[in-house]
Amino acid sequence: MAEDYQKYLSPQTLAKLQSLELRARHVVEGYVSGMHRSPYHGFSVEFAEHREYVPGDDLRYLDWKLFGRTDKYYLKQYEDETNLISYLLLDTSESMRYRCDSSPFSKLEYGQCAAASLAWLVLNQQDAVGLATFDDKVKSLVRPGSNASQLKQIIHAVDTVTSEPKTELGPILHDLAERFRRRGIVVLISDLFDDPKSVLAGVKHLCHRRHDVVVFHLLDSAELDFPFDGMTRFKGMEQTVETTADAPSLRKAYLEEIRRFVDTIRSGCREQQVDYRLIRTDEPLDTVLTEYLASRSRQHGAGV
Amino acid sequence: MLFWAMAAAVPVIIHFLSRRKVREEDWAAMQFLLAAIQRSSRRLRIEQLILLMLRVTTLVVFAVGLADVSCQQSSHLASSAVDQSATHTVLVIDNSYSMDYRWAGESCFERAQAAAKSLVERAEEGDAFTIVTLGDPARATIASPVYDLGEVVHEIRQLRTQQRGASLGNTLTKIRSVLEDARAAYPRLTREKVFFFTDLCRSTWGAVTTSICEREIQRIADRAALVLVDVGVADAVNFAVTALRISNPAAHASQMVEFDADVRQFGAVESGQRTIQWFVDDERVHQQEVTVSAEKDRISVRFEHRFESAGEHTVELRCDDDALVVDNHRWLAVFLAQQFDVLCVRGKKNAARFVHFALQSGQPRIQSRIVSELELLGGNLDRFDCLFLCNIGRIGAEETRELSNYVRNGGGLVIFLGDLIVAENYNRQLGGLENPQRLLPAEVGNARTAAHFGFDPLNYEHTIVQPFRGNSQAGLLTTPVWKYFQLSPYESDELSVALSFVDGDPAIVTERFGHGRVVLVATPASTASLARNGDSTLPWSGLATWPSFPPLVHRMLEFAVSGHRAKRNLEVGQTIQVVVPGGRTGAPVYVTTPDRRRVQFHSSRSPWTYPDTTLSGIYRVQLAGPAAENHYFAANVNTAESNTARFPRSQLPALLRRAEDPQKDRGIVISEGRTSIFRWALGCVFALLLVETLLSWRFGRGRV
Repeated sequence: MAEDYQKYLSPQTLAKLQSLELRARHVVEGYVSGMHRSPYHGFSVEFAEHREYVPGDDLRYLDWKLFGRTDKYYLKQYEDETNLISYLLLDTSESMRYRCDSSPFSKLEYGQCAAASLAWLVLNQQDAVGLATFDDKVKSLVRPGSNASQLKQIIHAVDTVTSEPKTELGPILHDLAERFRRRGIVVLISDLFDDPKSVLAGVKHLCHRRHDVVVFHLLDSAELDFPFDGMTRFKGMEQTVETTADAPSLRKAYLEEIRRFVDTIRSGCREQQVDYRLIRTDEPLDTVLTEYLASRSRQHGAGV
Repeated sequence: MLFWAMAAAVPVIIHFLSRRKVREEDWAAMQFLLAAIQRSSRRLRIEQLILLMLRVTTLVVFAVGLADVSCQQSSHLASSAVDQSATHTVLVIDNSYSMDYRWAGESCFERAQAAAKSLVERAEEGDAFTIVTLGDPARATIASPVYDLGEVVHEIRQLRTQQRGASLGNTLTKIRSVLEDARAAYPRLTREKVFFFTDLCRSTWGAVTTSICEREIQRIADRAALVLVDVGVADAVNFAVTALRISNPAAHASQMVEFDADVRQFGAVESGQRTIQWFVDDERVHQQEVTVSAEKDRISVRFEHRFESAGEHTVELRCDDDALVVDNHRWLAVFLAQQFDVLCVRGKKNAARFVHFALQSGQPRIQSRIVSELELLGGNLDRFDCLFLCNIGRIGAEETRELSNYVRNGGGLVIFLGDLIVAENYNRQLGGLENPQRLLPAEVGNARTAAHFGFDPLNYEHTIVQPFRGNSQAGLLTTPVWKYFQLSPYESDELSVALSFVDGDPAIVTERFGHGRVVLVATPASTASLARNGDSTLPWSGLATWPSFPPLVHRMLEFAVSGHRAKRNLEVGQTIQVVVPGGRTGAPVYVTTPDRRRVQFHSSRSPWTYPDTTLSGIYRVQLAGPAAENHYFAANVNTAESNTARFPRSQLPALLRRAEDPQKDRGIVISEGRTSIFRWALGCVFALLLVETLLSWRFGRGRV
C-alpha cells in the first residue's frame, strides 16, 4: 500500500496542494459543520424523496413498504447534512492507456494521479470524497466518505482498474448522475472520446442534478499535435479498425478534427457553466492542479 | 538510350516501398483520424497522383533528352554538344564524264577531288560532311553526316567519274533529301553549306533555269549556303565521235555494208588533221584522215566493209586521243542475219499474196510464208524476224499479248489495214496511250473514200521512203488509192509519219515499242479489199500492184527488223536484255565487259537482263549450253556531255553566285531560334523538379 501512495501521490504535488482547497461553487442548503453545507439528499434523518433502485444501491435503504404496494423497488432518500462531497469520475477505458513516446504518462496514469491527489486534497480539508471508475460501464464505485481509510479505498480502486473498450460515455454519465443523489463536486477525468453531444448530454444531466461539475479533459500531446512522420499504420485501441496513411498529409485535417472536438466540448461546458480544463499529459500534474485550484478560488472567491 | 526511360519506374517503386515502410502506432483518437482520412482521402489521392505523375514525367523528359543526345554518334557527342555552330557540309561533286577533261596534267575531276579534300581538311571541330555525286543518277555516297574527316577524304579519293552525263534536277532533289534527313537526325549541326564542284558543263547546268531546278535551289538555299566551285576549263576543245550507224540495218553476210559516223569538234575549233581508225571485230581495217576547220566542225565519215560470215560482229571507230578520251571511241554491234524469216498473215484470201511476192522478188535471203490469221497463235513468233498482218479483221486479247511481247522483244511488225478491219477492235486491243500492250502508232478512224488520193513523201525524210528520193519514176507518188483509214497518230516521241496522203492524212506511221518497231499502213496490201463507188466496184488501193510496192515492202521490212538490231546498241547505263530460248532458262550466262572482266550469272528468267553497263564498249554475252549463243552489245556514251561549252556563270541563279570562295562562307545558321531537344528537356526537368518540390512541400509538411 505504501508503494501505491508513492505511485499516485507525488510528494511534490502534495506539497503544492497542501495550501489549496477544493471548494464548491454554490452552497444550497444550510451550513452545519466544516466549510460546506451540502445541498444534497442523503440517507439520514429527514426523508426527502424516493428514487428508483439501480443495481449497486445499498439495499438497506430499499422502501419495502412501497415495494409491497407497487412491486417496484424504490430507495428512500433523506435530507442530510454533511460536508462537501466530491465525486471523482475516472475514465479507465482502453483509450486512456495511450501514451506517445514523448509523454511521461499515459492518460490513465495521469488521471489516476490526478484522482488520488484530488482525493487527498478533499480528505485533507475534512470533506468527503468518492470515486467511480468506468470504461464501458461503471467498474467500481467508492462511496463518498471522509474517514481516514477513505484515501486507501480510493487508491486501491484506482490501482486495480482494468480497461475495456469504451462504448459511449454519455449513458455512463447519465447513470452516475442518477446514482449521485447528494449534490457535490463531480470531477470528470477523461479523454471524452465519444460523441460530444452524448458527452455534453451526460454532463448536462449532472448539472441538472445540481452538481458542481469539473471536467478535466486529458489528452496526450501526440493527440493534440499529431507529430507523426511518414507512413504510419494506426491501430485503433478501442476499435478494431486500423488504417495506414501518410501522417504529414493528414495532419492538417486531423488537427482540424481534434480542434473542433475540443472546441465543442469546451463551448458545451461553458454553456452549462462547467469548469473545463484541457490537460496535456506532458504538463506537470502539480502545476495543472495548483493553477486550476488557484484560478477556481479567484473566480468564486474564498468561502463561497 | 531510351532505356533510361525505365528509370521512370523508380518513383513508382519508391512509392510502393514507402508504403511498406510504415511505423505502427496504437492510436486512441481513431475517430478523429478516420474523419480526417475521410475528409481528405480524395484530395490525398489527387495530390499523390499529381506528385507521382510529376516524378514520372521528370524522368521521362530526362530520358528523352538523353535519347536526343544519344541519337547522335556517341563518339562525337561531346564536340557536337559543345560546339553549337557545327556545320554540315554537303560536298556535291560532278562525276559526269566531261569532268575527265584533262588540262595541265590534271583532270577537272581530280581538281574537284583536291578542292573537296582541301575543304574537308580545313574543317573545324564538330563539322560533318556528306557527299553527293552530280551524276545520272545522283548518288549520296555519304548520306548521313560523317565527323571522321579521314573517312570523308578516303571517300572522296574513291570517287570515280561515270561515263554518263548528269541530271541536275535529280541531284538537287537528292541534296535536299540529305539535308532534311541530317536536320532530323543531327540537330546540333546548326549550319548547312552545299559546295558544288563542277565544270559548269552546259549539258548539265543548262537545266538550272528550269522551274524544277529553280524551285529546288530555292528550297535548299532557304537553309543552306550554296557555294559553287568551278573546276572547269575555259575554252576547252574536244573532239568526239557522236554517232556511228549502219546504213543498211538488214544487211547480210557477203554483202557490202556501209557505215557512217559523225565526228564533231566542240569548243574553239582548231583547223588540222585528225586520224580516224575503223576496227571490225577488234582488228583495224581502215584508217582515214579528216580535216577539221572552223567552217566545218561536224564531219561525216563513211566506211564500207564486207563481212566474211553472218552472225555477231563489232565495229569500232576510234579517233586520236585528246583531252577527253572517253568520247573518242564509238562502238557498234552488228548482227548479220543469214536470212530473214518473215511470216505473212492474211485476213482474207489473197490479202498477203502481194506482200509475199514482193518479199521474194530478187531476195533469196528472205524466207517468207503465208498463213491464215487462225495460225497466228499456232507457233513461236520469236522464230520470225518480221510479221506482216494483212487485213486481219479483229485482233483477240491473246493475240494482242503475243504480238506485244514479240515486238517489245525486238520483233518487227507491219500492219496493212483493209476492208475487213474493225477499227473499234483495233483501237481497243492495240491502241490507247494508257494501254501497256499498245502496238498501234495511230488511232484507226473511219474509212475514207474519195475519187483519187496521192502520196506526200514528206521530203523523203523517213528511212522507209528515202530510196525514192530522186526516183520519181518508181511510182510512189502516183500510187492510186481510193479508200483508206484515217489515222490519228498518238503523242509519242518514238513515232514518226513516213508517208502521208496529199490532204495530210498519214498513210504510213511508224513507232518504236521496246526493242521492236511497228509500221502501220492505212491502205491494204492487196487488191482484194474492194470499195463500192456508185455502181462500180474498185479496190481500195492500187498500191500492191504498183511498181513502188516491192521496194516499199523491203524498206518496211528493213525498218521493222532494225529494232532488233537497235536493242544491241545502247547508251551507257541502259539494260542489256537477252531472250533466253525455252529450255535453257537457268543456264549460266557469261558477260565479258569492256574492261575484259568475265562475270557469270544465271539466266533465271527470260528475258535475262544485265543493268550494269557502266562502261562504254562491247559487252559479250554468252548463253551456255550445247550450242553456245553469243550476243554482242555495244554501249556508247551520250555525247551531249562531250560538248565542252560551259554554262555562263552570269546566268546562274543569284543564290549560286553568292559565294565562290569555299573558304569565305561559314554557312548559314539554319536554326538560330532552334534549341536542341536535349536543352529543352533539361529545362523541363529542372522546372518539373522545382514544381515537384514545391508541391510536395505544399501537400505535406509545408501546410502544417
